[in-house]
Amino acid sequence: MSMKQERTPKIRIRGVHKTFRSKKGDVQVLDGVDLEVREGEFLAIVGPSGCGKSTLLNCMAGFERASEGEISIDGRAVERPDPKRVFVFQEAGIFPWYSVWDNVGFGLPKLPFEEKHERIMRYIRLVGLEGFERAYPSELSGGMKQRVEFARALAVEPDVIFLDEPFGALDAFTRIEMRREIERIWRETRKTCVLVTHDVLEALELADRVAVMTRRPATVHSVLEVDVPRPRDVDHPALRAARDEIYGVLGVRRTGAK
Amino acid sequence: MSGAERGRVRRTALGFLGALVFVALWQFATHGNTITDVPGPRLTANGLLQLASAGVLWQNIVASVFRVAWGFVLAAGVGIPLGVILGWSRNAAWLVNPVIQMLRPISPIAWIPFAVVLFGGVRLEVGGRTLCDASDASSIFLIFLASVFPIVTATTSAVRSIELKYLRSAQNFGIGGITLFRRVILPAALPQILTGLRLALGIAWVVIVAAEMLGVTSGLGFQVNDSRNNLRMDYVSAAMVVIGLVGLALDSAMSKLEAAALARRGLAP
Repeated sequence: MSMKQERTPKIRIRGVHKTFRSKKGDVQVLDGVDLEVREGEFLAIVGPSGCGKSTLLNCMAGFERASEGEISIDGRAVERPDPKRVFVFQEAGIFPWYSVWDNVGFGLPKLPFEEKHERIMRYIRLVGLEGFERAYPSELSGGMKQRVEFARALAVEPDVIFLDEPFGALDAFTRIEMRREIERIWRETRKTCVLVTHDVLEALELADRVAVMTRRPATVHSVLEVDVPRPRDVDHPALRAARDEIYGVLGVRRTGAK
Repeated sequence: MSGAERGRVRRTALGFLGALVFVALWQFATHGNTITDVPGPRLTANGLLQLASAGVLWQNIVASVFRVAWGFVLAAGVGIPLGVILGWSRNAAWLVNPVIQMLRPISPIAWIPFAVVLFGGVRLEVGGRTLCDASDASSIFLIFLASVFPIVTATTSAVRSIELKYLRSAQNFGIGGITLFRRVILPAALPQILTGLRLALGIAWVVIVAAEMLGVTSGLGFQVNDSRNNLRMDYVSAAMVVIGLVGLALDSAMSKLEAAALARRGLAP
């Protein structure tokens, strides 16, 4: 942990403001966000719904521009999306007109077929979808589609993966299963991951650090270190304490707490 | 018998029952009419047999299908690319849409005089055989006009409603230009484009009677007009029945094609 802190941050966010203009007037979403993401870490961003955490992630990925402030990755300002930083969507953004194989290979540059096939199959195996490479998304369950999406993101071998509520569309059991999967994949690949979620327990189970955002117009209220060995059990006392602390910041009162 | 099979049998049986009720009502409403009145089903069937045995019926079907096919293919060739451009570029849509929306409500029938003037002298010959003469060209033009607008409109809205996550995924992986068009835009828009094509083919076939009103000497539309001029109302209704049946066949062929194209791409029809 202390080693990582000495390195320069992978992603640096400085004084980011974002205002959306609409007919009813301007809506200020982000109000001076400062945040750093370290190389190889799993950072989660939690906050109340509509607080602008997805907007922040979209700005980090280059899909949207900050109105003010600066976002840089590896010391260079983010201007547009880049295959080195892949975005995983809330609801599977894989293409229904392509098979699993074609989806996973979508972002790959021109390669000799053997090499391409080998690479695609490696990532299909990594997410546990071997045998389904010729299936179409319509034949897969929600969790399997999400696996395809992860494989497609990983196949281009990016430095950073942005996860925008990737489990939002899944049922409760699949969510638990996919969290374990994501953690396993992260431990195997050690990519820098930034996860946006409104599920505090999900954030605590997966992340090295959890950034807590305030209501709109949002800032980062605090960043929590989660120093619990993996794989984690959400019933761990340290996680329960951290959860209560975050609920306190977000203004969620637990029944019987008062 | 499985549930799906039973459903199919019931569907066919009900379809026949509906047709039977229709014929019965038709018979009831036209009871005692002669060939100069509105003919009943029996007179129509007789007329149909006479037309078929004279050999002109088949020729007329072929002539009409030929014209509709050309008009429709040209409309798709113009309408799909134009629709993609209008769906993609807001400026292009603002530039062209007012004109399209103004031209669209003008019935192709209103264009008939100009179609005759414009294509009066057109004649395409290949190796001594007439491929397409003046009357064909003006009919094809009218069918083109009737079917191009639904295709443009459907394609425009298909491209405009492509989900942002697909475009962002492509952008994220550095896909742009013609590759974006081929790998993302076209397949994403395909289901709606196919629906538009099917609609347009239906409209093209509806217009055939009007398109064959002037200057042609073949086709089902000509058959209707010519028989009316000769006061053979039984031939008129016989031609109407054939137009309906061919229309039904075209539509079911198109919907089969639609289902097959979608299934091949893993999209549920």
